[in-house]
Amino acid sequence: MKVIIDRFEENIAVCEKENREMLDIEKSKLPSNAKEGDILIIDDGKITVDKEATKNRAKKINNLMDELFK
Amino acid sequence: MNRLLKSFNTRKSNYKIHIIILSLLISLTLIGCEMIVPTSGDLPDDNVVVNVDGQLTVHFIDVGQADAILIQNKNQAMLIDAGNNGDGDLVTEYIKDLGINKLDYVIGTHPHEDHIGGLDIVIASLEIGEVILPKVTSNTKTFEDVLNSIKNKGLSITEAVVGSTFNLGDAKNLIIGPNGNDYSDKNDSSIVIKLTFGKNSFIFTGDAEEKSEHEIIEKGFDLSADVLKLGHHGSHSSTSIEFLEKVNPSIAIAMCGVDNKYGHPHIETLDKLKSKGIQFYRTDELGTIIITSDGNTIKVNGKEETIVNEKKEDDSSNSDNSNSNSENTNGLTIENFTDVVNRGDNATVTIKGNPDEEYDITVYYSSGASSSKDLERKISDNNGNITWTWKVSSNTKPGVYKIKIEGYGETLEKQFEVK
Repeated sequence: MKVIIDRFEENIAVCEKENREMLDIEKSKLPSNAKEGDILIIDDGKITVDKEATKNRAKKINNLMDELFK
Repeated sequence: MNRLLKSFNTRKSNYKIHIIILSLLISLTLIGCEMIVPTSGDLPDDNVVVNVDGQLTVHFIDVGQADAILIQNKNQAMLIDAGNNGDGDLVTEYIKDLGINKLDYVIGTHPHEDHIGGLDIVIASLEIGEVILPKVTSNTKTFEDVLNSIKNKGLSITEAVVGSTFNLGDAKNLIIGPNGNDYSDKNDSSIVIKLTFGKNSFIFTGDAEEKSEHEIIEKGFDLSADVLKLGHHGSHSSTSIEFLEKVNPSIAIAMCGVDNKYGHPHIETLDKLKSKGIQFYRTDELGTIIITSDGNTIKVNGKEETIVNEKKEDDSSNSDNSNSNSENTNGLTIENFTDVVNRGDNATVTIKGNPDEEYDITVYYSSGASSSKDLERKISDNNGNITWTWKVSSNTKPGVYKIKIEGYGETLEKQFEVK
């Protein structure tokens, strides 16, 4: 499944699932360079960062921001 | 010829009318922009007390492990954050049950789910005046939903600018943070607001942490307030001693969920509040907390609270715009002090007292006064300065401790934090 890291609380990554429910994942289970906003692929317990999807998502959000900010 | 002249005059007067209408439209548009944004280096005078009307009500809405704060005065209302994703309906119903159909200002302090989660539903369900956000993004669908709800309403977003002000009835709001926009931790990009209503004031911090708190202090704002909404749900990464001393609140509020898995509010924060005798209220224990002010007296859930106004009237260090770390107690001052120290590191304090006089220092840990050889009586130099440096043992339990300096008939106490 794919989740997006919303924020970190101490050793926990609070992640958003596709249905917008939140899922807590221990930081130790993530790749060491995982950061807020990263899209993670969770496959059979293995977690990796989907760099391409993360970049595309960021672009989409930035465009929306540019459109809306005065 | 006459007919030609007549049509020419009509066209001229049409042109005149168009100019008048255009000018009116332009001035109306300018009047419509309510937020006053300062030019750089221009901080508003926040020492002026305004006569206020009626009551200010601040609702710290219980949304579990999240923030949602509704503020009302006269017939205006503003909302700071709207809880988690699943809290949108709860917050909307709470607002509507009060007979409120319009939010003049909606503030999303920062793009984390426990702050802006419910904002999409609130924006879609009520009439909205102005939306204020920091120019910081999140990749989540939760955040995208908020942006889309703003777009669907045909609204635009006002970027939070430090130093800008806006009024809510007779309450004045001043944006004092964030003072940067490229933080690795988005918590520090939280919008921080000081609200003043007559003689009472509040600081709303979002999830701002020590870094942001320090930057706010460096900016030189008068941070003294009666009520402090603790940053980041009372986490130990917020509410530094220096910030707490600058705000000097009588009342602190933590918005957190029952048995939340992050341990909020953290014990280190609770210890700081306790050592300063600050009245503390938390939504996990009390549910929604309602604070009212008539510009003079503050009530929490209907009960009048003691506000130590004397602290504000003669406390000149709080309205001091300098960046100096000095703290005065008669003729004995602290010139320099490490108020946060890591275990195993050295702590240091420099005082300025009377020249060529003996001063004692005592450092109090859980086990009592330290007997370190570095903390012995010293004689000040001919400028009145003494520096003590001592090692904070790596076995020290993280928390808040006290130092006391005595000499020449004067005593000075200061707290420091061990991490």
